[in-house]
Parts: sequence; C-alpha cells; structure tokens
Amino acid sequence: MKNEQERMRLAAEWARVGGGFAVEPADEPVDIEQLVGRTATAAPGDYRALAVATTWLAKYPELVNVRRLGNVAAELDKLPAAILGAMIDVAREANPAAERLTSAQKYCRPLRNPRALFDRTESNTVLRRFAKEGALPAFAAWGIWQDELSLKFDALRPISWVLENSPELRLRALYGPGLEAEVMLALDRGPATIAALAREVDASYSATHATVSRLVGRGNVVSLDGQGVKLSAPVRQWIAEYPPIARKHRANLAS
Amino acid sequence: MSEGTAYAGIDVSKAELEVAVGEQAWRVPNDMAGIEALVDRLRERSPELVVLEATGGHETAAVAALAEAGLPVVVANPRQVRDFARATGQLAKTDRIDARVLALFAERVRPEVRPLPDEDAQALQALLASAHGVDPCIGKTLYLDMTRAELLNALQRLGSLIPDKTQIVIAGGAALILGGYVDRGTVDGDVVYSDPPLTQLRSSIVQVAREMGLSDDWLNDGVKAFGDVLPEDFEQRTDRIGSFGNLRVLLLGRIDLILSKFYGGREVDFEDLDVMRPTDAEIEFVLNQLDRIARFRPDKALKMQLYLEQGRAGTVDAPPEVEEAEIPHQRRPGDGTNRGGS
Repeated sequence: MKNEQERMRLAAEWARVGGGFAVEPADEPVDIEQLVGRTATAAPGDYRALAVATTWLAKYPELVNVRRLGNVAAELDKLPAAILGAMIDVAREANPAAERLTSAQKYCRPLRNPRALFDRTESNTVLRRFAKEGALPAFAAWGIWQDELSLKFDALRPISWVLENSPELRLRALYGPGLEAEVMLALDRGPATIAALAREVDASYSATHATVSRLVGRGNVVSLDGQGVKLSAPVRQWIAEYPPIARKHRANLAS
Repeated sequence: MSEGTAYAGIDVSKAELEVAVGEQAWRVPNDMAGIEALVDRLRERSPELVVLEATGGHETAAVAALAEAGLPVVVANPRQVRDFARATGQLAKTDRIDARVLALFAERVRPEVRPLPDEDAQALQALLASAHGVDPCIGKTLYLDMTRAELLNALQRLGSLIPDKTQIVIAGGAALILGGYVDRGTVDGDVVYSDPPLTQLRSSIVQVAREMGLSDDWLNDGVKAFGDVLPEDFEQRTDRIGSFGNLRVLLLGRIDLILSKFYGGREVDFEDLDVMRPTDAEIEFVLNQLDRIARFRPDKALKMQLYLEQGRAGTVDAPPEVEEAEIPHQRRPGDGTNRGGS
C-alpha cells in the first residue's frame, strides 16, 4: 500500500458506518459517496477496503445518494471510475435493491486498455495472466481483470448500529437518500437561505427551492419570514433521539 | 414424529403467541413475561426445532429469547408455510391450527437453523441488556473483526465450557494473528484439524458467540478440506498457543501457513506473505509440495509454480507487453534473491 495513512483513514471511516474493521471508528461525519470514491481510488492496493465498501453498497444501497455518487464518479480518474462501475455491478448481483446505484455508472467508463485490479497483480506476469484468464464478468466488463471478490456481509454491523453511530445517515434513513435529506442535513447545522442551501448541497437553486417548499409543506422545515428556513422542532427532536454513543463505548468496541 | 422428538410451531400475533408441540397446545401473551414463560416451557420439552412465521417483526423478541436460550429456532417464510399447508390439505385457518401446521412444517421440512438476521440480533442484544442490566452498546455487536485479545478470550471461554479434552489446530488469518505475524482483525477462526471433530463443540461455540457477541461461526472448520493441501506431517510443526481448560490450541506452523497462503493466492494472501517474508528455504519447501498439490488442484499448483519461479528468476515486474509473454513450462534455476511475496 502506497499510502498507509489513507488505508487507516479508510478503515476508520468504514468502521464508523458499520464496517467491521478492528480500528477506532472515525470521529468526524462520513461523506459516504466520497468514501466510496476514495475507496475505489485506493482499491488497487487495498483489498479489504474494497471488499467492505462493495459489501456496504450491496447491503445499504438505500442509504446512498446516487446523484452525489455520480458526481463523485465524474471526478474520479479512469481506473477508479472503472473500479466503481464494477463495484456497483458486483453489489447489484448480490442484492437487486442495489440496482438503483446503476445510474451513477453513467460517469464510469470501461478501461480502454484492460489491466488487473490490484497493482501487485498488474506488475506480475503470472498473476496478471491468471487474473485475465479467470476474470469475473462483473469486472471484465469494465476492463478490469480480477478473479475473486468475497463480499463480507457478516463483517458489517446492522442498520440500527449504523444509524446510532452515524448521525449523518439518519436523515437519509427517514427521508430517503435524495435532496430532501441533504437539505435537512445542511439545516441540521443551522438555519440557511435557499441560495446558501443550494450551494451547500451542490444542487440548482430551483431544485433546492422546490425541495424546501415540499419540506415546508410537510412541516419538516419552517420558514423564517424571508430570513431563510430552519428545521422544525419535531424533526430536531427526532434527530436528537439517537443518543451519541459514548467514547468509552467506542473504545470498547474497537479494542 | 419419532418418539421423544418434539417439534414446536408458534403462531405469532401482536398480542399472543399460540404454541403447538406434539399434542400439546397453549397460548402466552407476546410480551416479556409471556416469552419467558414460553422459553421455560419449551426448554422442558427440548424440541428438535422451533418454527415461527415472519409476521412483520412481532416475532422478533420471541425469536431472540429462544435463540438466547439455546433453542434451535427458525423463522419461516410465510409463503413457504402456506404452500406446505396447502400441500398437506390443511385449508382451515385458526391460530391453533396455524401453530400445528408450523410444528408439522418443522418436522417434515426441517428448515435449516441459521444465525439470526440483524434485526433479531438487535432484539437479542436488547433482551440481554434488559435481562442483565447491560448497555447493549457496550461490548461488541455481532459479526465483527476479532482482535488477537478477543480471539484468545473467546478460546479461553470455550475451553472452560467443553467437558472433554480437545485439541484444535487453527489456520488462516486467525493463525497469523494469534501467531503475531500480522496485526489486524479477523471475522472467524479457521480450524483445519480438531480432535474430537468440531461439530461436537458446536453448542459451546455458539454459547461463547452469544456471550461475547460474536458470529455463531466465530470458530469453524470451513477450511477442513484445505487439510489436503498440507503435508502429512504438518502436525509436527504446529506451534502451541496454550491450553484453556480442556481446550489445547495449536497453530499451523509458519512454513505450513506460508504454503497455505501461496495456495490461496488471493490479494489478501499476498498481503500476508508480504508481512511474513518467506525465506529461500521456505520457498523451496513450498515448491517441493507442488507435485502433490498438482494431483488434486493442478491449476493451483501451476499458478504457484509459475509465480514462485518467476520471482526466483527475478522477473517480478512485468513489461507492458506482458500479455504476449509466454508462460514457462519448465522450472528454471533461481538465483534465490526473491522471496516470492510480491
């Protein structure tokens, strides 16, 4: 692994969202789509992160914002973008519910010059040859040679743990992983104007405005008389109902 | 139904649990007190299998309590049970009849007992928490990497539970971790040899899992078939980890672990080999096993041979036009400088 620090960071962030790495979970909120993208980038040197990330996509596709994942894919280099395409296909094979992730694949392109998934394999004549001959279709379709990837469903924590320990995902669980949850998450950090919200969630003003209007209409968000909007009291209360896990518990979990 | 063997069916509703075991039938409230009474009564009957129908979560607490009590419980797919009822001509429908159908389903179909799904595992933890005054957040939840200390704790607890002298040999990632070769976690411990067979320890293994929040398969013999890969005398090279009560724990010797990693040939195996850094003598040992391995896995043997000899020939880094490179068919004399790990 070229970057041991990044490897440890990935493990800690996956641990925060339920990945079964025996490390202390990250303290900071996790941007799951960015995390998936960074894992795809690190994948040629980090089998375990790749396996956990792909399993996570297969197990919790309903917590992934596909628009944001597509934006992440669009920013990736060619190899990680192709790897992400393959990860989604593998997740989809394991769980049909992950079909919804396929729209993020439009930013992924198969490699023009196929190569082995892992750097070690790519740099070794024999391993490369065997990887090519035994390449799984889900990888080969993306120009990647890899003959096995074991999804580890028993190495992911259950959804209740994920939501308890990753407040950043709770709103997605409640409102679905779309713009509504992104707007609510942004408002959880404080009141904001529509324009500020649109910048923060990286969406157009009109889409953000329409989303906020829906949320106001449902009583999830309240208008501040021309001064922007904020979360309604019931929603704030719901978010607060998940008590943050105590640090000593987390240390215990990771020890 | 064979004499003395009981199969239980439980029809679940939000308010009540209707139970049928053989000719007996009774009803308990679907609350903590009722479930406790159910567990006590079923324990007396020691049923071979308890089957409930999935009913939108109303069964969760009962399933968790039954599993916690060590009773073999299965949550059946309602459609499967309906089809079974139709096939057996049971068309009438009351709670009591449903419970009897489930008991019959248990006896005839014998659905496989599997680890609890996540939701049930959560309910189990909540039940344990309420029963023992323990915060369910403390300690590990199910299905996670075990560290070396946790593995040792689990083995120690297992040793305290088993009644007879037992010896196991651990392979795979758990052996690397216990042997101090790598510093990471593992989901399970792979037992390559056990005397008596590991199946005889199953109930104790599951008990440790429930106590320590591990997967029921935290210790398994899924790699038993891998025993063929090892030379016959592998037991002479095992390393002793310790004796825990009646349990004597050995690890595959370093050279056999290296052999197993080359045989595995996955990216994770090579990562482990990077850390282990096999010596020339160890590489030679592996090469000497290839003819034997080729008898049952010629593909694996070929890959191992080509990989190792390529490394010895100093051609690890592939040129860009590697696709056209020919795979050698003869062993070449190596210079002994490469360790075969990468």
